[in-house]
Amino acid sequence: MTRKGTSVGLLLMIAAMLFSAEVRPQLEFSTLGYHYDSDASLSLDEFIADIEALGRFEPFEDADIPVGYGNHWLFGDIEVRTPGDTNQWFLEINFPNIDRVEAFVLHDDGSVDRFLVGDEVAFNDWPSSYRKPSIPLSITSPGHARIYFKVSSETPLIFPIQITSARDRNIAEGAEYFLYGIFYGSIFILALYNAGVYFSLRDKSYLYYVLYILSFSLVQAATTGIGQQYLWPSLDNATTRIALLAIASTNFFMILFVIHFLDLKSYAPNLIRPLRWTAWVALLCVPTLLLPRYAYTQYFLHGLNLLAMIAIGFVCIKVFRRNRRPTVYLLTGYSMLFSAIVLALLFQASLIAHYSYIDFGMSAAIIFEAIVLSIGLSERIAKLRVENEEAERAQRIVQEELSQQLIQAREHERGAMSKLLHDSISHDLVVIQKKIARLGSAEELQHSSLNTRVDNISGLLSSTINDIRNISHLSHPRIVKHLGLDAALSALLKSTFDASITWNLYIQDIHLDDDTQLLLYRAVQEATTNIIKHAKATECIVRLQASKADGQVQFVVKDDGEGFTASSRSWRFGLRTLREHCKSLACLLDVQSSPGEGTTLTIVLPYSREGKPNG
Amino acid sequence: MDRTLLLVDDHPLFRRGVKELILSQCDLYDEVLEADNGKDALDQIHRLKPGCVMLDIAMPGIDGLQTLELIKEQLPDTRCIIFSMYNNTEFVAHARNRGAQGYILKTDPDRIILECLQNIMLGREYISESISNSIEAIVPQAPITPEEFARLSDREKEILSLIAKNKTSKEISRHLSLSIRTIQNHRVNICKKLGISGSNTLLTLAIENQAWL
Repeated sequence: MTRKGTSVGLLLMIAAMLFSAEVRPQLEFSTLGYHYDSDASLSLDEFIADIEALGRFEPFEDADIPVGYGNHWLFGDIEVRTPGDTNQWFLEINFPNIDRVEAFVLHDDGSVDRFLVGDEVAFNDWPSSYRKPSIPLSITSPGHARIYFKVSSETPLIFPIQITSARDRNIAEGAEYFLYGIFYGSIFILALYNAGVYFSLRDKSYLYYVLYILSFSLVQAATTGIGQQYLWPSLDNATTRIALLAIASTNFFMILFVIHFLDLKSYAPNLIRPLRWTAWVALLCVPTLLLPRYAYTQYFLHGLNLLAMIAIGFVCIKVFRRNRRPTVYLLTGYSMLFSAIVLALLFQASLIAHYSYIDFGMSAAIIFEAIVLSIGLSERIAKLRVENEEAERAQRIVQEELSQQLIQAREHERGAMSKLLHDSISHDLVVIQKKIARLGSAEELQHSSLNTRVDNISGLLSSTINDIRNISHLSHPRIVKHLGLDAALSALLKSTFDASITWNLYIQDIHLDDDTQLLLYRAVQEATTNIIKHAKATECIVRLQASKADGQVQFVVKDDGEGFTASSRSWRFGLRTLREHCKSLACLLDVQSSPGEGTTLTIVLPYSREGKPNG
Repeated sequence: MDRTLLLVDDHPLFRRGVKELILSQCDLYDEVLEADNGKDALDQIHRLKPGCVMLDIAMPGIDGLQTLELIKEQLPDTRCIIFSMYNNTEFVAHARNRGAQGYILKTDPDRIILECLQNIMLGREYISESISNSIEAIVPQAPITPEEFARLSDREKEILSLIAKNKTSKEISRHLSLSIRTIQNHRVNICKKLGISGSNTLLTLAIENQAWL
């Protein structure tokens, strides 16, 4: 989604709005007036009688949008001056959420047509299947009709009306539905796209964005009449309540979206709680919509909305400096929406003519906001990816360090254990053995049966000492320390391989520290174990040498066996440990192997030719 | 002081046992000195010039083999016996290479210890019977002369240079389009011509003499 796409979409929408405004014929009222009927007690006849009296009506000329509360009688003489031979007209009420409109059309012959529209009546029962409540009129042009309305509404009432010919309305309807198609189509695509992103990234701001724009478009569907026409045509008393429900959920998801989108957790954690409360209070209003009267819920929700917008504005100011880009997107989206709302209020206050612009203005603002926020979110993907990668890398480093430390710790512990076993325990045992042996050779015990027992104990001690010696050697090959790497490896190879494997060893005289020597010894242990178990090799080369070219010190263990096969899983595990061991000593391990080509294990040491550690 | 023996071991209990044994059952020595590390041992050897030194290998600081090397460097006439828990033949070979006259194990019976002391006194070498039968003599490899190398055929030299490049017999056979058997025969012949024992040293030989190839 590019910025270019956004502006093209907006231009298209504005052009279509102007076009649709162009085709509407204007109707003219020769007389227009209203009467406030506080207890809704007037009948049509009484009302007409009152008009005759004329004293109780307040005529108005200019304002085609009367505003008021409760129950009203409105009346108007309509002159149709449009040229043409059409005689089929519609009188449209440009506000779909009026509770109840009773229209009485008095013909010149004295007959009366009565129509009932508004939220109280299911859309299917309306006299004309158009999203706005409208009354069909049959007037021959040029002609004249007299219409009375009895209007009731629980909340502030707006009653903008206009008259359209059937033909013009078809054209206008086509244009409108084209625009709404673009609107809902765009919302649908944006929602789908971001829902997809949510399911792959699991970042909640995407989910809340989707729910927010879907809620907002539901508000729009309810207030423009699209909802009652297409979504709930058979429900009565539904449109206003659904609109309020949608407003509540819009408020709820908008706040949650802002919390995640602006990363308030890291930038303003103390603001999250009040915002969340506002969101939940909005949602708590929803059950009250089931009550017979919705007026207070509506006032409350509108108030809450205003509060939330102010709060979000405040949050934006608060985090603007530290989290600039998302804030800019949010503010851009909201500024457009905010201007649309202000304009809508001005329209409603009849300060600006052409009421029908409100719908389109709001739709345009919603789309604009949705697109801007979606662009903001798409920037977030990159940010999230970088953050994820960083977190993963950090975790990997921690894990590696941990396992390297573990390997070093294990080696040191084994060293200590081996030392304890060898230097202390087995010496003690030898001393005990000697004492027992001396006891056995004492005069008193000669030719006694005790003598054999003493011998038995002595023999037992011998095998214990031997076992301890073997354990000690396995856990820590101290031969490396005493004899050096060359002799230790030679001993290892000699004891590991039988005559079927030719081995060659070359260890250049390079000074290595004890830990590194032990590492190389372990590497050969690992490799030879594999050669014996899996490789079916006939030759093994072990070699430590500094390269003549760059002085780099390399240790190579090579065999001519089968290479990696399916049976070498344990070897892979051993290699992983060896790799960590290498890393812990700043060495690099590389293993080359392919089936039938043998295995070459190379360790690059951080040493120079002279045996000095590099770097 | 020929009738003085120095016992070097970091394990006091063990030292005491051996000392008691020598003083009570060996009439070769009047006095048994003790040291618990290599540094102390060298110090006493310089001051008291004992006729014989018994050295443990595993000791803190400089180990027994290093101590042995230093003793033989500074006072080559001192007779040395390695007295250790280690029964690997490599230790024995190294001890001998560094000039030790004897190698016995701590687990050996008293009889062996006394036998060893006697043999050393008579100027003979002594290695504990529990390891001596598995000892391979380490014959230091004399440097190969250019003349000896000249005896090798071109093919043999080629094989030797490939060995120096870390090639296995398998790889060499593939490289020269010969059978592995042939390569192995060549290897044996090279060893014979150069008079070296054991094919394990062929790589070392090849690397160290790369200049002649």
